[in-house]
Amino acid sequence: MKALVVDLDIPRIVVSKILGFFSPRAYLGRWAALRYRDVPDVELPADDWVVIKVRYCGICGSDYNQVFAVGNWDNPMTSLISFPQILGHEVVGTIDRVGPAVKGRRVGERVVLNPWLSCGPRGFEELCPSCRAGNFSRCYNFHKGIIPPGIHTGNSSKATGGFAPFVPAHESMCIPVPEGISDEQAVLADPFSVSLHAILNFPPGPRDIVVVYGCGTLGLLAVAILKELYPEVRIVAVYRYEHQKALAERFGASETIPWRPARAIIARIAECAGADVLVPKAGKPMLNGGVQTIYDSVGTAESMEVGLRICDYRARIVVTGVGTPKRFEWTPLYFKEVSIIGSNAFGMEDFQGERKHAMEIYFDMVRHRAVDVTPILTHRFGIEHYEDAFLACWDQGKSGAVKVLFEYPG
Amino acid sequence: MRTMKALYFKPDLHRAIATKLLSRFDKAAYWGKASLLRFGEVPRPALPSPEWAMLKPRLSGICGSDLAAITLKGSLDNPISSFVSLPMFLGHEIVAEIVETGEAVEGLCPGQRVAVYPILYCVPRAISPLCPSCQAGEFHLCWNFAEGALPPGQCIGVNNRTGGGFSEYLVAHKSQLFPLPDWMPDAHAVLFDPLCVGLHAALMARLADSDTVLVVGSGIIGLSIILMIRALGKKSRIYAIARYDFQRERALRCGADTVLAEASDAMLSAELAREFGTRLYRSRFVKPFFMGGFDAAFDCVGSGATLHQCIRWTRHRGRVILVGASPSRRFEWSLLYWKEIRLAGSISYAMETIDGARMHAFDALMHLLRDGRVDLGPLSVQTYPLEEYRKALDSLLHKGRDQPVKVAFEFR
Repeated sequence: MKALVVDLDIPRIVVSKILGFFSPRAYLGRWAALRYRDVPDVELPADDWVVIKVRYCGICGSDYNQVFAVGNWDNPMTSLISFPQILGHEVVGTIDRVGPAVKGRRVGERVVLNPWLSCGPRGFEELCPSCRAGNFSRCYNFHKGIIPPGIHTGNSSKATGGFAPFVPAHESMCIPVPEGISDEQAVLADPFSVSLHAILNFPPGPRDIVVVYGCGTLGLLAVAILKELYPEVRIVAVYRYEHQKALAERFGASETIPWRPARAIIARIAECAGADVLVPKAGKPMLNGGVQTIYDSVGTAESMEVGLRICDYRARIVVTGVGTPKRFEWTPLYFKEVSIIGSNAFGMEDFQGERKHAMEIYFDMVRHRAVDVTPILTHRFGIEHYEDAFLACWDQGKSGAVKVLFEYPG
Repeated sequence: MRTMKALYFKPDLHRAIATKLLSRFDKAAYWGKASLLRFGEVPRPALPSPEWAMLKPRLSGICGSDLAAITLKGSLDNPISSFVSLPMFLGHEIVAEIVETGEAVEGLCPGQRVAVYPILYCVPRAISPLCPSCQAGEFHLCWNFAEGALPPGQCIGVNNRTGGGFSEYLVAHKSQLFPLPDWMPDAHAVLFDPLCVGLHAALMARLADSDTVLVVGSGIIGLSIILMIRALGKKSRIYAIARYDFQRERALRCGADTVLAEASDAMLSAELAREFGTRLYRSRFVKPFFMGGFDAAFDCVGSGATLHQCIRWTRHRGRVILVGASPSRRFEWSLLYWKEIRLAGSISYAMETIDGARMHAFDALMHLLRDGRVDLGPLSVQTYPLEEYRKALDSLLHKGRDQPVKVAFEFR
């Protein structure tokens, strides 16, 4: 089959980094580490795996970072992945083939991918403490077992992803899509679950003013989830592009603020929260008062520095974004005794007295509460047009992209 | 006008540049002739209102933050610059004797010995109604450090109005004065401030007996945290990292179970992975880390490297507490997200809840000391007269040689 492959090819990465200074096409063209090429057909790593025929695969921010070589060499997570990689873990499709030991899934079933390459998929009978608790994304064994290192589908060399028409998956990684849910709705199960996990684990206070920092996929979904689950909460969204602003308002943000200048964000939040602005002799202004909870889907030095300045004493900044670490001015972290809390992906979640997989909660919300977040699906491309797809992600201001999908013939 | 001797900090661009340059050759430049640190005769502070008292310090500790100011560790984008006023009369770890009381100071009289709670919150600033933080008893998170009847300054020790612990006289509001019982030696009372910083941080971590805890740095703050965890009766397993042998010995006496010598990151990571019986992840370019690990970690150093260590060595959903006012540094934060760690800052102290009762940290500490729940033996205090400030500061830059736990100025 043909697939989009990322090789750990240092010369190519170096060349595209240099050329990338002039054009994003450097990461997609002849000299890129990313290539559209023939690969062997999918093999099942074990008898309890299946093959999914992909219908849609979303491009995640982490795929984008990998393709455009965003990140630092000292990121410890690099010790948990293996190459070459066929990226893409936001997958919906139908089961095409099942291994002989598969018990729970059958051919033809429509499923979304629960992409964690945790103890179960790795062939461990005895689960690690995280997996026992259903926190698959925090598994202890991402480097062990029957497949090479990798956290989720797409970053292990054997668990290839949806930037190819067929994807292998352990049967436990397949979550059936109920009737009445479209493929378009289903492909958003993964990012929806990421935002849901953050909000369920670190919920806002009943009548809080909440800032959603960033209006890409995760931010917009956070707005929609907050609106649905915490209707009393007043949502202030920080956006970068005009089309994001429109979607944030549509999903329930009561205020929207452009991402720059930072001083304007601080001033607007001061108005919203009725807080005083302290203008220091040096650095950015900060607030007395401010908001109690921030969901930061950007996770950059800039978003954290501004976040620390608009939040209240003892507030929480819940970070779902994975920005590249850089220095930020952190004084309010201790001066206001703020907490910055990481929120990683999703797994089994406690929701209204039940413990359920986040994706199943999403499906319930679509079916029973008429939650519809498909307006964020802005672009679809055939995999052979991958350059256009990534360029749409590169310049979202021009393309108006939020979630870009690869689409395969049905 | 009556004057006094004082050690104070007066910023000046030319001197700052000269000091920065000279300090590359000799750290003594930070307190040399061209430095921003001045020692000399200045006017004595006056009582700002009848609710204040005039004090004469007996013993004043040198805090890491005093040293950081003197050694120009700050960064230009730090907003705290708005919560100081210049020149700064340094010193906020103060045991003093009352020499004069304003008319509205009740229950205190000249000659009495007091510990000084240095925070200049709403009450000393005569602000009414109190800000939300002060209403909640969190005076150290006051909203009004630049408002009210005093110039900007988060505490005594960083403002130009009250004098400080390194002055022959200072003024303090009656709400800041905690009379000391006769059985309490000065050398214990001078440790109230760092001990309460430790108490506040230890409480913030909400430790359970079953927790395993890391304390990075075995200076006075690290030692205070260990001591306070034990004073609170927690049986948590405590690991500490110490740079010097004498710190290691003190950390063990304070109640640490295991003290690791500061070594290469790779060695420490490997040793801790062995202790936790967990596999060490390592690859090129990357500092090693492991799954599982400490339930809570206190970073009392606050460099980018130590924060990264705390994050790498803490378990999923663990807590990392950055203790004190460290200058901002880059740190690799990917694992913060990955392990869903809570990174919280802890500074200073105010009303604290201990054994179910809410009381001022100083009162809490006095109870703990009276009941024999804290042994301050390991926290020895080295004293110098104020005139020998250069020697005192120098000893803090040569900890291996002079082995100071707490250095303080003694007044006679």
